[in-house]
Amino acid sequence: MSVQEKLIACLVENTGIELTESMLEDVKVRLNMILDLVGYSEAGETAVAESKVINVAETGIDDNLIKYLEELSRLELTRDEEERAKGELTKILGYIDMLNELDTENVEAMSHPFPYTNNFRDDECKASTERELILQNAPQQKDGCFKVPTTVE
Amino acid sequence: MNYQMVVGLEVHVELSTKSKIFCSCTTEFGGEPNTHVCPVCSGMPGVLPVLNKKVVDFAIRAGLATNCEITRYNKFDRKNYFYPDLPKAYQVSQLYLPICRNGKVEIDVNGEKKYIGIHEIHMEEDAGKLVHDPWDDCTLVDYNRCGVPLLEIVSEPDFRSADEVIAYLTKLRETMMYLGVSDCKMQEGSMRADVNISVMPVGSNKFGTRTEMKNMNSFKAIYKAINYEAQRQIELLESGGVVTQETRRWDDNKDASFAMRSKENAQDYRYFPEPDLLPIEISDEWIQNTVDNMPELPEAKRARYIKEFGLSEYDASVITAERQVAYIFEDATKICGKPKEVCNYVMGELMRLMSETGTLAEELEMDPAKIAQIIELVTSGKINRTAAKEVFEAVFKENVDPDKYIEEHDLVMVDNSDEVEAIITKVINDNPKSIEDLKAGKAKARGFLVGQTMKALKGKANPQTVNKILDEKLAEIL
Amino acid sequence: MMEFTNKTALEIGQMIKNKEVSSVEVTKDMLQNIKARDEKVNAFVTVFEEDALKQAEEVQAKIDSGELNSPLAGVPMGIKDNICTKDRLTTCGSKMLYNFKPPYNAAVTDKLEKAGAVVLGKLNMDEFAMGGSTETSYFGSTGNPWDVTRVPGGSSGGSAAAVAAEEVTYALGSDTGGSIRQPCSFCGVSGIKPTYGAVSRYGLVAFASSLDQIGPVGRDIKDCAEVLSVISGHDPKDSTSVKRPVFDFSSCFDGDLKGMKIGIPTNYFGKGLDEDVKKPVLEAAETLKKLGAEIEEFEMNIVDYAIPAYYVLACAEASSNLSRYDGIKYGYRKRDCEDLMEVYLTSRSEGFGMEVKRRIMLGSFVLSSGYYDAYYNKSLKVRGLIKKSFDEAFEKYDMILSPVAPTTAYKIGENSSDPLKMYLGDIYTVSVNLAGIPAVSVPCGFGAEGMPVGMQLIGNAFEESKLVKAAYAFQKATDFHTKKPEMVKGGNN
Repeated sequence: MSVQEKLIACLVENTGIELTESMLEDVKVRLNMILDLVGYSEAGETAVAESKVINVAETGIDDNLIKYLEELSRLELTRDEEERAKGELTKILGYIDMLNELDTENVEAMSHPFPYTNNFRDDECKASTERELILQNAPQQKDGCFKVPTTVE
Repeated sequence: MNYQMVVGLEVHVELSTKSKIFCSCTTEFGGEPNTHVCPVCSGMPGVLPVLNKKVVDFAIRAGLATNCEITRYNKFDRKNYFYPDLPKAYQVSQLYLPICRNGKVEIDVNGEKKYIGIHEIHMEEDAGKLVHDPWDDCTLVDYNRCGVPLLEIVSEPDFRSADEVIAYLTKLRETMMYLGVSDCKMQEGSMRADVNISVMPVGSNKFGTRTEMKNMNSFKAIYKAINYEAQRQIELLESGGVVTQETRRWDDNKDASFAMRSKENAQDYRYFPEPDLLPIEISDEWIQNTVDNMPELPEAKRARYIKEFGLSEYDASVITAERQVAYIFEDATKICGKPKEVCNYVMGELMRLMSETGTLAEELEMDPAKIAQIIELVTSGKINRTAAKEVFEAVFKENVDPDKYIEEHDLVMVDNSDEVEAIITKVINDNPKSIEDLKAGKAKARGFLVGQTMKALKGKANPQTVNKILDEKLAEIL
Repeated sequence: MMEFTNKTALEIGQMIKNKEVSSVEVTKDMLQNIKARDEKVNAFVTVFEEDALKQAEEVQAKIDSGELNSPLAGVPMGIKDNICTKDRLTTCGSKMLYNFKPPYNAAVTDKLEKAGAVVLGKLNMDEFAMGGSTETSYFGSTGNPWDVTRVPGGSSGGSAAAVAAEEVTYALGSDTGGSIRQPCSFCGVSGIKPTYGAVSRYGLVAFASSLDQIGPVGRDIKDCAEVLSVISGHDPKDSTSVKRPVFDFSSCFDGDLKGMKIGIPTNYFGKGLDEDVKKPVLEAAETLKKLGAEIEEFEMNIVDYAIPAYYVLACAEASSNLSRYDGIKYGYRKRDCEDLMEVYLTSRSEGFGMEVKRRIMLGSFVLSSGYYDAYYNKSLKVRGLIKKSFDEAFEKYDMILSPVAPTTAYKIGENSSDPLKMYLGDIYTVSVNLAGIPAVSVPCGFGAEGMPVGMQLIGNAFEESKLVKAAYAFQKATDFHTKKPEMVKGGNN
């Protein structure tokens, strides 16, 4: 039985109210919202149990960090999404922490798959793109420029 | 308490490549908004950068000229931040392995020499331009400057006065221009500086908290801003306050600096290696090749002008202050073999005309061969110095052909003794008073007669001929 | 109306050349299939009906005049929606780019169109290629043609599903962590993830630049090889594309595997692998053995660390690559924003789906001040270790045989609530991208519920021809790749 089903069974038992089909749907939706809010994810619990999770307390995905990541990423999550993201990122980072099992002391960081270097272009001009084409996808434009709300203080 | 200012500079110079750093759009200044733009420099989805080799060449040149070590294996990193002038929302720059490191530049302030350390030089791309539209209360974004290649030259915090800063900037500007790396046009923003300032008690070696002023593009403003900011910090400390680390904006109209919104201060750029570009490997040959093709720098030029051409130290430094002027001097000298003559014309006529007409060195179109030609005309006695000035001006302004010009304007000197003799005879006859004065021992009167003769000959007589014939005539009379 | 079931792209190309059928007829037939099946499959985000017919006419004219004689000339195909098509919608499966028409073609689009490809439209995908099920697409999830209640895999789910449903003859996909191979496995079609740098990425909307690679999806490996030989080769517009000649696979089709050594990494077959998948893959090993290959088991423990390293690097690069979607230059922007910050926040928060946001935030985190060394740099080092371990393996073996995914196609919605579980599904594929090496995915059987199973052959850098040779021999000896889902078998009626 899933947590959701358990909770509903508990509800029915304690209140004695028989739930109609539509009431049951409604309760399920609300329960899911609550479960989301507390960052609970059933499938997640099992997956995490399978993987090597190290406590991520040190990396601390807390409210402040989530807010900071939103700011860095120029994203704004709802309170609900924030809670979810906190739980999920904590879990993912916990999994990522398994990398610490590896000794990489004398290993070179590999940012390119192959050790190629030096791909250059000669200093030659070619025609630029027609301005219309550059601007054709712009949500707002004016006088041949992209237009944004004022940036002046 | 006495305080000492500590200043460090991050100087940006725009490189004089034809095309942008990662695409083939022109780097030409100006143009209608968004007309020097393509999908690459406007950050469209899926496009990729390809590095302009000239940018690396220029960076190596700049590094060698500032005594840097060249990082043989260097790479680009992404600096991530959001702003409308940055279409990819990251600037491709170099953080972890910049192309040049550990250099130094010698400066001279009132005869005192000092080295300023160069922490690093790295390559990066310029951002676009934002224009505020007051009618609409909105901001318009133009990406023409996006992707113009830049070198950022980061000094150590070695400056202790605004004068040192100006001496360094002057030297750096001169050097970059001589290298052909940048035109360093301050007014077009192709050379600009971020200035970091702190103060500490004299004798201390612990730096105070610094503030930064970004994108300053006039020496005068930099000079004023440094002194203002140092004074502000000192007054703040003296009155028991503390300096906050912040970015400040210099207002040249109000002669004061102001703190920027704190939001723009906190930054976490999340640098990481740019995966779309390959690392750069610089071989011995590449460096040797750059060394072999290095243009002569102003200092070396000055020394050579003094030694080889016998110019004074002053003349040599005036001529070498601008690369274009030095090249005109050198080329003209090469043709006519008369360095001192050329020096006189450059220092006299050329500089005068430049300042009268407000012509900048980089706008000069003076043909050195024509300067040599004018000097030839003078030394061969074909025109006199007065006429030479006139020709020089005509060449400067209209690029005329000197030979044709002197013919057309009847400036060729009269070397015909018969004609000169006839004029002198007439002058003597017309001025009996002067002859009497001469007889009375008033030698001055001779000058008057020479003047009258020259006047009659419209200034184009050969003075030697005039003197010789006048002396003969006077000898007959006196 | 003709039916091209059982025909490969190369066979159709030959029929066009022989004037048995025209490009327009094949194109019409495919459009018919799309009309009949795509309502259920939802493999397409956009169908270029008019453009495709016009293109088919033009191509046919060029074939008739002798100007075009590429083996694929006139053959209709589809392109994953993160590959730019000039003046035609390119959405990346995202609301963010719902209306984006690039003023340029991707290098591969150019190459294919030059070779006479007829582009039927753009194929569905996980939003910005982030996902393994095509469920994160803003344009709805794609159904697996074998059972439309199941996912087609992802992120190139639309590409694999369209080929399996015979809505296209072949397709282009992209593979950052398995995004070509896994959907091929789920949909019973063939695909190649080429060596990093073999195919130009110019015009491929970037997810993770150091891992992304475009590749073909087709009915058999021979079609895939032909497409790869058209799209590969150095491109001066992509600095990371390698200066090598285009692939030539002409000597790969003899069906003989004598002298070939194939390694099987035992840890790819341990806990977590469904019996449904394990059995057919091990049986495939037997088949390869019968064809003359030498099979040997070996250990490759480092790949257990591939997933964490992969997600750190891929998300870090993605967080930067996706920063350009700011509502200013193109794509979604909320109307009437008061200030600049609002433009950023609302455009990005409303334009991106949750999985994309999650990865952007994870990527921002691992790059942020104080965490770079512990996460990002550490992962780059682990990447080095993984590459080294593959290098060692290829000293002993010509290629490596493994499963593609731990399971067959699962039900839509079954895994979407748990990102980490979803990420673990990439366990057999991501190390290939980290090492930059090539791999193919070809059908090798079916699971208990009748869903297709694929096997993966991993080769050394630029040794695609070995993989094609082995996959071809396998397909010559088996018929898994010729099996059809019910919806195709029954025709359009």
